[in-house]
Order: sequence, then C-alpha cells, then structure tokens
Amino acid sequence: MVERYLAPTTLDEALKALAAGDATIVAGGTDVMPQSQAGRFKLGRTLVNIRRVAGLQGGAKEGDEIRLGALTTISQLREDAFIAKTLPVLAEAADHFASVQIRNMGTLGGNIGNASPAGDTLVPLLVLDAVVELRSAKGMRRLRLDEFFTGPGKTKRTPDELITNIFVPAPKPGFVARFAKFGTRPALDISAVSVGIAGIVKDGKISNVRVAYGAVAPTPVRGRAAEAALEGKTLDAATLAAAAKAAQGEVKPISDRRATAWYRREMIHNLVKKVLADVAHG
Amino acid sequence: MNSPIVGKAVPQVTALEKIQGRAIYTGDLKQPGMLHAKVLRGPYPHARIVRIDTSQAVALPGVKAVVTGADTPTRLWGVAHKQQRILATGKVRFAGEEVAAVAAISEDIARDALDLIEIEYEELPALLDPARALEAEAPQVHDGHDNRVKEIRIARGDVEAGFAAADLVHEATYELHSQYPGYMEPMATLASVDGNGRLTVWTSTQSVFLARARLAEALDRPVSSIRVIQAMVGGGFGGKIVEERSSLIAAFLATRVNRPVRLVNNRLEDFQSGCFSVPCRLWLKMGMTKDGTITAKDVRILANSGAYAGLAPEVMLVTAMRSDNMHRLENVRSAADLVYTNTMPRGAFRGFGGTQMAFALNSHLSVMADKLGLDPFEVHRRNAIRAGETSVHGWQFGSTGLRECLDQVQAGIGWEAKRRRPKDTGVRQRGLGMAAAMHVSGNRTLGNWDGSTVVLRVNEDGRAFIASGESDMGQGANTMMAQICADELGIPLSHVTVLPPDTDTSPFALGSLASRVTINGGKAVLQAAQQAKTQILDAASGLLGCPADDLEIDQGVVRSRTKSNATAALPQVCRYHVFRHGGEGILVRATYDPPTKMMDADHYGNIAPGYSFAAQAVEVEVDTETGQVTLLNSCLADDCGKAINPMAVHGQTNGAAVQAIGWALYEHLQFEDGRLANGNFADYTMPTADSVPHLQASIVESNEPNGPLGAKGASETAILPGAPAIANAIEDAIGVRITELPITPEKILAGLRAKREGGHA
Repeated sequence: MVERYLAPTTLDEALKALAAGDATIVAGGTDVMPQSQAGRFKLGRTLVNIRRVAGLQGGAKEGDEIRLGALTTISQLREDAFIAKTLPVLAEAADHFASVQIRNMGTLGGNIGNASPAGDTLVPLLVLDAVVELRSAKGMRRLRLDEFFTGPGKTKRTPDELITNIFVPAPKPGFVARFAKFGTRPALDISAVSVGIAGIVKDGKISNVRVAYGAVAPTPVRGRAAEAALEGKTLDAATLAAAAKAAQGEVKPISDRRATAWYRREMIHNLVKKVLADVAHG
Repeated sequence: MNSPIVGKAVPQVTALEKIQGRAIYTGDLKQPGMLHAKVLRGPYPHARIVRIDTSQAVALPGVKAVVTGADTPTRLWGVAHKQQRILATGKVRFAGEEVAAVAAISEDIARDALDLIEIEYEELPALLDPARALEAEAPQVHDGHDNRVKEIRIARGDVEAGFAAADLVHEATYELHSQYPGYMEPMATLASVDGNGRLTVWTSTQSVFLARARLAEALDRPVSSIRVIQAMVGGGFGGKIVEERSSLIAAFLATRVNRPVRLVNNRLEDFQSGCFSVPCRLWLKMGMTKDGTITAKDVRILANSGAYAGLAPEVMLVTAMRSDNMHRLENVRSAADLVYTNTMPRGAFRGFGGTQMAFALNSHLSVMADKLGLDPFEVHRRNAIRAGETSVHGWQFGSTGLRECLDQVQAGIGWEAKRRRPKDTGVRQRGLGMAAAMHVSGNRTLGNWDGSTVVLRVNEDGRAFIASGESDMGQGANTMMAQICADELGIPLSHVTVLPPDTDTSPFALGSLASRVTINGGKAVLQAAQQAKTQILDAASGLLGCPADDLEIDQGVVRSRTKSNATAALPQVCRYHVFRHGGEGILVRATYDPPTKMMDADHYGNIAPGYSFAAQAVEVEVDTETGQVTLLNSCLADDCGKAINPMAVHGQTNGAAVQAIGWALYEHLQFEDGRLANGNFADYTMPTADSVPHLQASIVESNEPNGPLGAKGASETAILPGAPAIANAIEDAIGVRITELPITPEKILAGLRAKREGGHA
C-alpha cells in the first residue's frame, strides 16, 4: 500500500527518493494507474511523481546526437516542430498512439519503461538506433535500446534508476525512417503488429538499414534477417519481396487475444512491404 | 389543427441538463449516512463454494456489513425460470458471479474489505462450449437438470415441398457472437430503507415496475413495501430491463444496515455483471425459384443462455421466427435449442434476437441472389409483405415501409451505378452490400397486456404534467410524449413536464422494451391530451359563453372559430375550471391497450400493433494486405411510421448503425479458461469516430393506423441490417464470404488465402 507521495522538482531529489527503495515512479500514470487498479501491478510504499522534475522535457540537438527528455509527452512528440523536422517518424508514431487524453499525459520515458512488446514509440526508436540514459544516486549509464528490454514489462533498469533521456544519432543526409502499426480498429487500438524501417536512401539503394518489429516477440525486436536482405540493395520489387519474406521467416510471434501467430507473420510480411514502399518513396 | 411540434426536429427535453452536466444520474446521488457497496465475484466458471470466512472483513474499521449467499432470502427470482438468489449459494456457475458484498463508509474501504473475505472453492468441470451442453456426460450447470433451457419447434406449410419447388437450395451455418451493451453509464443503484421499513430504490432502469416486481421477488417482501424511482439513465440497450443483478445487491444491503447504500459498477464490474446478447450457431436452408421467390425456409439454432435463463428464451424465439414475417412465406420450419453454459448470463439486447437471424437471412439472400443472377434488392421486393396482409405466423400489417426503405437506400448509396463499375484489382478493393429487416413495435406477452397508462394534469397556469411509468433511457421517450401532448393541447413544448417514473406515483407500465413506448405510451398520451382538451374547452365554453365545439386552442389561447373577440388564455380557463369544479384541476387518465393477440402455444398470434422495417446499403473498402475493412458509405432507412421527432429518430438510426458496425467488425468478447479477458474499452474495441463513415439516415413514414399520429417504434429496427450489409459488401469486394462474426482482419486474410489456394472461405 502507498504510504508516501513525493513530487520532487529536481533530479537529485528524485534519485534520492528512488535510492530509498520500494518506490514506484509515476510520470503520466497512463500505464501505472490502470495496471495497479486492475491488480496486475503492485504499487511500492513510495509513489514518486517525477512530472515536475526540471530539465527532462523536449528535444534538442547536442553534438552529433539528438536528446529527447524522458518527460516529453506523446503529444509533444506529435506537435513539436523540431521533432517533426528532424525525427518525423516519432511524430508519425505519436499520431497513432492511443487517445488524445493519453497522449497528453503519457511520456516517452514511460513508454520505454513500461516495456510493452506493443509500445508504439519503441519500434521507431529502435530503428533510430536509440540509446537510453539511466541515472541513479550512484551515477549514470547508457544502454542501447535494442539491449534494454528483457521481457514483457521487463528491462535492465534497476529499481533505483530513472530513465532520464533518450539519445538518437542526428539523421544524416538521405536518412529515411517509416513506421506502421496495425490493430483491428483504426483508432485507439493496441497494435497487433508494428513495423519500423530506417536507412539511408541514395540513388535508389538503401544502406545502414535498421528494421524493427513490435508485438511479435516478448519485446520489440530488431529484424536482422530483413536488414541483411536489404543492406546495399536497390529498392525494387524483388528486394521488397525478399525482405518481406525474410521478415516473415525471422519472427516467432505467439497467438493471443489480439491475433494468431499465423496472422502476425502474414502481417509482418505485408507491412514490411508496405513500409518499404513508403521508404522507397522517401 | 396544424402540427407545429410533432414532426419537428427539436432537441430532446433532457438535452439541456445533460449538456450542462447537471442531469442527475444514480451515481451522482448522495444521502446522509450513505454507505458504499462493493461486490466479490467468483473467479471460476464452475466451482463449489466450500467455505466462506468473512470475519476479517467484518473487523475492518469502516465496514458496516458483509453479506454472502447464506444471508440472502431463499426465495428464487428470475423471469420465467426462478433460479437465482441475490448472491450465489452452493456454487458459482460463471466466472464473475456475485458471491459476497460489502457495505462500508467509503468505496476504498469496501474494496479493501473484499480482499479480506476468504473463500475456499472446489473447482468443478466447467461447461464452456454450448455445442457440448446436450451431451450425456456434460457437466450440469444446474444440478439435477439437463442443460437445455428451452426448445422451440415451429413448422408451417410444407417445407420439403417448398424445397422441391425451388430452383436453388442453399444452406449454410452462421456463428453469431455476443455483444456487450456498451452504454455510457454502467449500472448504478442507491437504496434506502426509511424509518417505517419501506425501501426506496433509485436506479438506472428501463422499467421501474418490472424492477419493483423483481426486487419484491428477490427480497421476498411485498411489492408495495418498495418504491422504485428512475434516475436519469445513460443508456440501456436492453441490458437494464430485468436481468441485471447489482440493483438487487444494493437493495439487499440497504435492508441489512438500515442506511442508504450506493452500488456503482465500474466498467470492469459492469462487464462482469452486465447483460450480453445471446450468441448462437444458426443453420439455415432456403429454397428459391429463378425469379427470386422464396419457397421454403428451414432453421436450426443452438443458442447459449449462459448460466441462467433470464430473457434468453424469449430472445431465441425472436431469432427463430420473427424474420419470417417480413416476407410472404408459406413454408417455414424452426428448431431452436437454448442451453446453459458456465459463462455469463445472456439476454436482452437491442434487436432482441433479431440481429442474429438478420445476419444469416441477409447473408443467405445475397448469396442466393448472386447465384441466380438477381439483384438482392429485387429479391427483397419480390417477397416483401404488404400492408393489409397477414404473415405466416399470423402477424397483421397495418403499415409496411419495407419497399420504400429499399428504394431509399438503393438510390442513396448509388447502387445501380456502383454495381456496374469494374471490380477493383489493387490492394484496396471496394464492394457494395445491402440488407433489410423488421422488428416489432410492442409485444403482447406479459399478462396478455401491452397497454400503457398516462395520467395528465393541466395546472392552473395552463402547463401540463405527464405521469407515465414508461421510461426514457436516452432514446427520447420523454420528448416524444411531451411533443404529442404539447401539440394536442396547443401549448409550447416547454410547458410540458414529463415526470420521472416512480412506482409510488406513476401509473403501472411495462417500460422501455420491445420498441413499445412510442406506439403504446404515445397513444395513451394522445388520448389523455384529447380528454384534457375536452375538459379545457368545456370550461372555456362556460367562461366565454360559446359552444365548446366552436372553440380551439392555439398557442396557449382558447379562441372561438367564429367570434374573433371571444378568447381566453389557458391559465384563465384552467383557474376557472378549478373554481367551478370544487377545487378540482384538470386531471385525466387514459389507457391504451393495443388490439393485439398474444401468441398461442404454437407461436401464432398478432403480437404487436405495428411492425417496423429498415433497410441498409453500405459500401466498404477492403485492404487485401491487412484484411482491414473500412466503411466508405452507409445509407440506412427506418420505417418508423411517423417521425414524432426526426432528430431523435436520426440519433437512434445513426447510433444503431454504429452499434452494428461494432458487432460486425470490432467488438469481440474474449475468454481465457472461461474468464472474461477483455472487460475494458481498450481491449473490447467498440467503434470510434475513425471507424464510422458519413452516415446517411433516412426516414420512411408508412403511417401506422394503430400508432399515435401514425408512429411506430424507432429504436431497435435500425440495428438489424448493418452487420449483414457489411458482410455482403465484403463478399462483393473480395469474393470472400464470412459467416462467423466478428469479421476480423485475420478472417479476411485467411479467406483471401483460402481463395488463392483454390479452396473456399
């Protein structure tokens, strides 16, 4: 049962609260609250509302990287002019993210920390080659996002750590990233599958390819076979077909309430083709 | 008299308070000393309750009562089958069944107390698949009874001869799934016992009198010791007629603690205790001649009642035979079986069993029309029953707007031109589909009566009060009654107040079910207003010295038709009436019991004073890579006899179209080990605005002779044709016939694959 509620305004205070142990972090609360109400998740003794912590908002270019504050809301991702210009794939993902109310409250850091295999920002972040910055009272470390998730709802974050920032390499000329998700209902649905593809497109050829899938494995995953099928290739019909086939072959989804394994593989095949066609068009 | 208010699209009389957030729903009600209730539900679909220990819960500070099945009256309640107590005793028959309840000084404490109730269960083999229910070794849901709830066998004409005369015989099996009513307001009740021991219950209900009867039965106390008042209702869709259980629990707790108790379901609780539509497997075989004449119809149904009977037997009867009446059929046969399973109870839902058969019938007619090279509109027209005719089951039609509905939607969707365009061959492929259906307006069942009574008072200021037990659940009953009354009395709509149904003060009524309120309640209002008008004109005759038949009421003023200076304002006339009649104001009562005939044992009769019709045409686009179906257009025509309020009718028609889209494409109850797995709006996906195309709703006014000013019901018929119209449009688009609802993207892709591989979907 919750005994203490803290709303620190500085990072140090927040980290100190986490260091004391048995704390639950709340930012937007859009996952923590319904899950704890439904009994799927037990709140710690201390509720730490990090919403007022300064300096963890918005996006900015820092050297060769773009820093995205963990408290950036999904609505900000969707509306921020800098993000729309530099990382449009995130704005696109935010546009398909839950409802307006949830976008207003939910944060980028929260979506990462929640580690849902269907988390809508995670696939785009994977193809953007994102790195997660974690801070604790003991210090700071950075983990590659594709090594950060360990299972549904599970990550390498230790209980005293806070996700503070996300860094992605600043896009190079010719960089294109696209994302598509599919659920049964056109709006407000949790993905049955999602696909992200990024790379540098030059003279019709694609290189530095990154492919990622959502909701086909215990965590969002990179699509190494599809990447190999695409790397350095001309984006023609044969390449699209080969990449789609490679993608379909490499995913090992399960059947659950949202879709069967067969349908998910079928959809990965079709969505990879669809997203690649978008990438080819720039 | 001209009709300035009836037929006018005025906002509902409840609209202002609702949009201001000032309408008082049950969950808004508070009383001094009020306690909050929470309910503990069994986690297993089928389990014996071995032991319950409530001692720790009772000891929690703030807890005022903890009750279990053993505390509840032993008298059983139910619609026809008396089989339930207020809380489960002995065993739980579905996951989510109410086992214990707590009343505490706050909702949080009540919820915490639930965690302290210890219950030991012995799990029993659960019957989850209705197809297994009638096997000899199937678990018994009700000990000592087999799992058959009801068996219906109807046969008229000669079905075999009909098939022999057919040029085409087609048979198929359909799977029709269960739908949650999805009203905005989950069930809520506030119950309070006064110092004299009378129980007052404010609740979200479609019928205060049926609620009172059910409370009396379940609580085993006299009907007159209970008062039920309808609070503002945020939607019902059939789920708030007589099957919900939470109002009984709230009332029972109130009798135990002698303090007001409020029980408000959250959404999950409402999913667990709500009333879902009856799912069934439906086998249909029909014969047709080359010109599209239906020669025979043979139906077999296996329907799932869930753990209790409720209204499901009545629902299944509708599935089994109602749609036979919309066509001129002679040879029909139905064999329907309703079975218990260890799943949540199913029952009344908008359309009351009609949607299930409408899907099968219209899917069938579309396939058969295709095979015979006919247009499905023509098939419906060829077979359509007409006004003045009697159907195969004895239903007599004073009005039918079916052909006009067909004409309107066929033109509205651009059927002819779009059917001629070349088929799409790309990723996205468009298709057209249509369907038509009928429903009742009224249903003579309970007590061989379907009447409605209205008490109408005109106060000394010339304004009217209507007391009726019929209820508004958002569909517009109060507005309809106010419009009819205002028109007849020649007063502004704002001068009519419709009182909330209250069993202590309202005349007896069956309530909002079977689309009966406009045709029966509206007629009673019309008759009462005519009587009141007679009294007003008689009084004015004395006041003005003119014969009453020379007088009329216009805009709140009584005036002579012949003498221009002979006028009196209504307040003057009404005050005069009070003083000339020993202090008696204008107070009249009218009852309208329609000239209908209850079904006999063979299901033959003429159950409703009017029958309403609807037709719908839709255009869809199917994405052949994702299986996603997008509605591009929808035209839905509703024959409501006469639209007392076109705005309210449009609201009902459009709402029905959306609810049908949900049933067809998105809504899907899912179970894991017999437990509901998606009892929330994130996972039970009702349509959002993005799923809904521009909806065209048109009104057909067939002028029902039995109806008030020609009106019939307009709340349910429009939900019937949506799902089959969508399925038919999908087949037109991609050549895949889906017979099992919901039509998920996955089924579309699987169907396309089967087609590619040369099989059939």
